[in-house]
Amino acid sequence: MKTLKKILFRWEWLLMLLTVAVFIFFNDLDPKAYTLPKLMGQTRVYMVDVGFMALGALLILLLGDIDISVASTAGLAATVMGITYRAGAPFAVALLAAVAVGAICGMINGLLVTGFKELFPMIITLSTQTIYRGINYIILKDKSVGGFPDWFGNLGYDTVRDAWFADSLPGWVSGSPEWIQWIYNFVGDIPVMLLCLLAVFPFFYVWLHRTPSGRRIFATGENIVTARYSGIRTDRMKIFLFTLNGILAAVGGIFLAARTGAVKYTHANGYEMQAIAVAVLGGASTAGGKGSVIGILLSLILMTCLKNGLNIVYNDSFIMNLSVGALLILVVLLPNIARFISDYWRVLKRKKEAAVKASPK
Amino acid sequence: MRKVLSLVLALMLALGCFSAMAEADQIVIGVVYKQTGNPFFEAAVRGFEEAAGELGFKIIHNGPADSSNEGQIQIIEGFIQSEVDAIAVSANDAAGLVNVLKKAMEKGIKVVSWDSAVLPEGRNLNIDPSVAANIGRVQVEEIAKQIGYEGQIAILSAGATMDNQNTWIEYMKQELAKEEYAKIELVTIVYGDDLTDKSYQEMQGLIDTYPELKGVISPTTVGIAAAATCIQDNDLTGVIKLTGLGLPSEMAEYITAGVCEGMYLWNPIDLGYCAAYASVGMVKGEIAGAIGETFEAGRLGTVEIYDDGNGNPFTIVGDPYNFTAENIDEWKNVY
Amino acid sequence: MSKDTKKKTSFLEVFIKNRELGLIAILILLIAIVTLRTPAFLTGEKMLFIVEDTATMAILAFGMMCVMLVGSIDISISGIMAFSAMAAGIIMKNNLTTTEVTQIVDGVEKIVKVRESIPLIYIILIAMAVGAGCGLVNGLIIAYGNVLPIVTTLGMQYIIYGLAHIISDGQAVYKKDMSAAFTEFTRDFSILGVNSKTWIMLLVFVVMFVFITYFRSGRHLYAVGSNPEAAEMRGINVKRSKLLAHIIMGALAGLAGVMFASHDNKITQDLKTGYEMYVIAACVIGGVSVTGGAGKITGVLLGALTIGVINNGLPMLRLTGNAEFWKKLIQGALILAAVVSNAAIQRTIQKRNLKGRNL
Repeated sequence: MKTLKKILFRWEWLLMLLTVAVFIFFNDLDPKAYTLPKLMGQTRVYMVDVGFMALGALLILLLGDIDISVASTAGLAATVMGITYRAGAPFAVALLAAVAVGAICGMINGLLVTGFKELFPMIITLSTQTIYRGINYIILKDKSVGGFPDWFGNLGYDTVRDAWFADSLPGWVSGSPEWIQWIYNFVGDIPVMLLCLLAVFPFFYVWLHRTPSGRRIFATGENIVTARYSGIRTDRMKIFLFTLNGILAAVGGIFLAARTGAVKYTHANGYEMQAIAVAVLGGASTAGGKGSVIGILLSLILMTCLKNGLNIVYNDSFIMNLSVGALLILVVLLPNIARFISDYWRVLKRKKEAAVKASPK
Repeated sequence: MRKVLSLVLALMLALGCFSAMAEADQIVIGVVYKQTGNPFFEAAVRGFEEAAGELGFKIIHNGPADSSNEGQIQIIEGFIQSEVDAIAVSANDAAGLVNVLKKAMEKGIKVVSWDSAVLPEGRNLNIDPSVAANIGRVQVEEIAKQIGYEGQIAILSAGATMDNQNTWIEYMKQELAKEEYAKIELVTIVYGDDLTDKSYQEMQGLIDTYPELKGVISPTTVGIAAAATCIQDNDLTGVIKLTGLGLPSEMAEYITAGVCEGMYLWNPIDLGYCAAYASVGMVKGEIAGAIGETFEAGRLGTVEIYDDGNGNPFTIVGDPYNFTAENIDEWKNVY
Repeated sequence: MSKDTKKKTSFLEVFIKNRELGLIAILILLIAIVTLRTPAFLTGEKMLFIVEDTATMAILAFGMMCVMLVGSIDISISGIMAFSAMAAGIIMKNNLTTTEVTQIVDGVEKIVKVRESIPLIYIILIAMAVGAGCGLVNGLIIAYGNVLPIVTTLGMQYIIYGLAHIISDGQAVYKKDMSAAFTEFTRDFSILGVNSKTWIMLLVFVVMFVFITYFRSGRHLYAVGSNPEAAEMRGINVKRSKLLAHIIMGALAGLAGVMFASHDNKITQDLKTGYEMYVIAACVIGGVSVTGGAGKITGVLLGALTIGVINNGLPMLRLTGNAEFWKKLIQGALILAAVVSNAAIQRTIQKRNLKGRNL
């Protein structure tokens, strides 16, 4: 009974239901533009770059910390990639340099956070945010850096069809029933970028939810003191996770650069809040020790459906933000209200029982 | 769970009031501006709407909440998804929109950039409010006239990375190199990042560090207003002269008070109006966007497409308009 | 006990009791650096101007301190400022009347237009009420809905900016739409040569100081933040304290919103985007603990002044050309340095303190 309840009342179901509701709602409003295949194409806008950063945000939130310098890290990494490539290095080297910059930025955050425990990570990453953005500004000044290789620009927009499928329907598809053709076309609509994001999810899922080292992260987030006493080297773990977070931010910044085609010093500005919002919507708690990789994926899908729908139906960025904010609060608030009501009922029931017992026979 | 759903649906239905759907077979133009809630672009949209009323097409318009390149890409992708016929965009970053706009052009969507250009490979036509050299020149002429062709001046710009302002400042420097301005010294260029308080602090810094300062040029609407407030607060009205590009509605009080004797701006309504005519003309195939072509733009008359010097087609709407104490009252409620 | 050790302990005690001394040292250092480059910086007038320019941030920081004391945080304050200022501004704009009055200026008769609207105090109160309303919603969700503060206020930030956008209808309120009293209350009105903004800030400072020192509900803020369970046991209504802190923050954000609006002579829907970060930085530099329960209002004032000196000092460094691009980096590095050095000072004090105890 208890396990059934656990399965039934999982956060993930709520997210899925919401996604379906949102989809039906917008599909009804704009059946021409808001379709599943078109939505699939839009995942490159709403899912990929934010997705990498949200995974990083999950790692940090699991620890009970917060990192608001990820967007600046992403920007700096993309800038370094651009200037390294412009300086004549092979593109692979440029990519490596970007990832390295991400790792360094993340590690600096980690060292500061573990070095000055009396300071809240928020304030440390708040300053490093300005500093990384400042370095970016010094490097790029008023210029933007672009002119990446063609394949990189295509990566930002190509779908599976553009990349691998033949121009016309292959014989075995055109001869098949309609639903197979639909699936073929649907697969063709998947952006290549999305595949890159989806490729890392299984790894994170297994690591965080199925290995001892993943469980140690949860334990540390829940109670850092007991974790330390039980032999977990919490400082080393924090530094490692912050570094990984920096790397993920850099990867997000690189994918964003594939879409924009040029990097300006404001690259990825404001993405830190988006990443945190996605992670929280996915079930992570800023108090630490809570969150899941599946939740992140589902909340990314929900965000895509909602934001894209609002974007094409209402055409008002403020209305879009307002709805996302309302959704964020409502989704987090509702389980608490439900718990409050069920507690209230239980207390009421107990009181009744007590009254029955206390009454003379 | 049902409660959750009904709540969410109720919320969204409430939002549904704002929705407006496109009818089939009607030309739809997607307008993208730099930022939502900016009065300049609100006025430009009025120009688009005016043209839409005359020509019978439909516009949908949107801009990011935070004037970001990424937000504009998101909106343009949405327009492509909604299958608009043309996109008219004022770009936050000339290079950063090229990829997505190329994608749009591949799908047969016409792309017109207005107010702030996209790089040539990402557009069919560019509509400039005015010739950049003129915009730079008139501001230098105005400040020189105000300070009597002698003394120190400074420039309070928007961000150090803004293409528009940097181009104008280059032309200002060229103009200042001329002989009649030999006694004018440009002491510094400071940047207020288009934030009111930062612009104010930079202006205060200018006043404190350069006691001999005679005039300030601020080629940005946020900067000129902050500078005017700062000059007034320091009781330096008439001592430090001010000109630049400003919104009449915002600057009206300072112009009447004499803090700013004269400033310039082009008409955003005309700009949107012209961009709308150009976009529709391209969708209908009446104009191809080639150099030397002309097209009729409603009340603006015949507009010609020029060569911008690098072989790229562009067109201009008109010269920047001079606002002074005499004419400000006509304009302060317009935009 | 010898005379020497006695003297040493008393010095230490002074230093421990006034952790603000470290802050004052940092402040003096910053001023010295800027003065070396531009001597005009160190004048009474400029210093007064910095206090005036920082006053609004300090008011916000006092509110933020209350919120942080109870272990909460509010990153929606820039939205609250925009929304409450916009609400008040629209009411002012709709009630605006312009009359032409003949005045004699320098012996010449001149027709002056006088803009009048509803009394200034009403405008300020409307903004504060709207702000307090936003704070109330924040507080209800955080205290009674049990949602983490940073998530609540992140979501509310989006919502409140959206509301500001809806009520403004994309239009801004400019000086021509404001009553003369409104545009002047932060500038033309000064007592003893000190600007009204500074006086408002000092008034808020005194009220807040009295409130958190002498009022029971004010002292409860500390108790709630340092140990909620213990506070609950002592019969303190923890939820109500949290709610109160957020309402105070909201009301002060409303006040700050109209002060900014009056000073800038304009209200746009994106008024002061991102300002919350400065305010939080001011609190942290001032020694307020992000986990709650610790922090002094004098420290917060000094923290706000530190940020004020950084913001006003940077233009005076006369960085031109490429150096312009260094400003952002310098700003971030200075904030980090101030925070870290303050932490380091605290650490040495504590260490010495412990050593003293062992002896």
